[in-house]
Amino acid sequence: MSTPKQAKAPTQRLKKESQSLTTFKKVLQNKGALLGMIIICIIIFCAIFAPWLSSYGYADIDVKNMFAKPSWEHPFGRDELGRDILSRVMYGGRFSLQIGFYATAIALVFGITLGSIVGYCGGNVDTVIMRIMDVIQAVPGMLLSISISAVLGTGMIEMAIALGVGNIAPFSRILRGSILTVRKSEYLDAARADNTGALRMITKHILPNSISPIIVQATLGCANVILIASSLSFIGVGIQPPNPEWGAMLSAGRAYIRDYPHMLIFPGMAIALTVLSLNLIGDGLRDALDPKLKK
Amino acid sequence: MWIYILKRLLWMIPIILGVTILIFTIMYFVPGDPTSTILGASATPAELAAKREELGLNDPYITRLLNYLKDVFLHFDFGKSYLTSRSISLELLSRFPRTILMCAACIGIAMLIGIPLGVNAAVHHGGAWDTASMVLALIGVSMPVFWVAMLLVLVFSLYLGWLPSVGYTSIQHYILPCIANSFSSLAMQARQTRSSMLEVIRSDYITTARAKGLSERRVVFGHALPNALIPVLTIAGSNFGKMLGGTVVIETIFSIPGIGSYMISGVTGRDYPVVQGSVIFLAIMFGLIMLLVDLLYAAVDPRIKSQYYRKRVKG
Repeated sequence: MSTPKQAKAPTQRLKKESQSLTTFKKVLQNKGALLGMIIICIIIFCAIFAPWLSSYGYADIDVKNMFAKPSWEHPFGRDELGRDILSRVMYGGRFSLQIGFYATAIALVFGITLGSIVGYCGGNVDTVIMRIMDVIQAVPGMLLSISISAVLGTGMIEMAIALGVGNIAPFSRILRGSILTVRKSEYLDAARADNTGALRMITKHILPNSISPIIVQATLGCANVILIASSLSFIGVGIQPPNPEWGAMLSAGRAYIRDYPHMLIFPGMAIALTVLSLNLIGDGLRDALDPKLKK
Repeated sequence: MWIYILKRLLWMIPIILGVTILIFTIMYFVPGDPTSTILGASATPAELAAKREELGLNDPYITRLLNYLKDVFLHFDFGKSYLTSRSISLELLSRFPRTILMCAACIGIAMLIGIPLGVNAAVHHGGAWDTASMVLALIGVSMPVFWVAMLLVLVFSLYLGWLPSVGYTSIQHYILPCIANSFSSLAMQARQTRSSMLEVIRSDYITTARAKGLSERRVVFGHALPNALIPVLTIAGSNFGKMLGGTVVIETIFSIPGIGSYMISGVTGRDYPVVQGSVIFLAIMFGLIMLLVDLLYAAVDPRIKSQYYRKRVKG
């Protein structure tokens, strides 16, 4: 994180680029993270190109072939309305991935802003904002999301907001903690001696040196958001059933668990694989960025 | 030491007040007119207006908030359900034991299995046992709670027929829900224990302990584990929050009438005082658990104790 190289201002740009490149290389060397990246790329590819990859629409009803077991034409089988589960799973990725991405983006923007203000200012600002964060974090994340989505409704953007809000507090807390460790660094004294303004100070000197824990947390947070989003859809307060969201599909399949378990296996596997791959990447990033683990 | 406990106890008051205000404010913005939920579609506008007045829905935000706070904290009254007009407090109290016992059992399972798994993985760092248990833990963290629950039902109630799949009357009914709900916490506990053990094992005093010629058992259980326990406790506390969220799903799947399923019935029936009451109640429970965790810290971590001890000597 705070390598002495970065203190030299003129070469900073060059060094920074090479640092993120070395991090990326290190992550790729990690077998688990590499596997995670491959899986998530396949899932993203399937979600984007679902209309071209699948020969059936996600809403094509075929009443003659309800509950068909997996076969060559329909590798994942068909659901209670005879819809092809494979295409539904592929389209479903669009919901989960977008919700995960938007929610994490919202949490990052607000979390980084708040965290850097708090970390930079310290004092009363710190105390007040952190006490408010304490209150928000005192509500278990899932319950907070359910309450917010009760207000906003059940669209995709609405869910992303509901889930993103819950992540703002942990993100800003982590950034604050990491800023506190670099706050006494000499290069910040040097910048201050140069009469650097607060904004430039934060964006050019503090953030680049304290951002890595939050990158790890964002990856793991995104995985968690996808998990909670599917849970919300499953209990009926998230994306609503005709849409091929994974949690909503599982909720519909639950009624047929006794006779047609194939309806449960594949959407659940899709969720687990997505979350697993993000967790693998997050772990790899942590190992690559954590100076304590350097040998 | 006592100063720390007292401070921590006093800090609960603003937190609980803050949570109540937060949830009340979120719920204040719920769109739609609750009176039409209560009276049904056939009610006349005059009846609706009268009901609005009776419920105090025409009052400004701040009046409603103060009334709500007064009811909740002075009379322990969360209001009445819009749909059944039964007291929410009574309902919460009657459902409370089931939810809290289930969460306690889940935390118990997660810690009893997760911590030994993590310690074992750290001790055999880099070995086959380490890899295997960490792969399993990673998969465990990644599986959604409701999917695990349904797979367990599929295997243990439908195929093997060992355990019931729905209901809440006997202890057998709780086995599957508890396993399902503790699954991901167990995995997380194992991961956290492993990483904090690894951090501790690298430190100098462990080398010293080994150099003294202590047995590996003494080193691990006498020196490393107590020091590694602090982050483990934190995770256990925050896992409790996750579990409270998990019970919402689990109680719905297994038809257990706890606070979680009550809350969901509130969401689906647009019965928002129920949602509000349940969330606040669960958040207070979570707050109390975090309090307990912090007090345990103070008992476990000599650094916290000495911090306050030194202050007193100085002062």
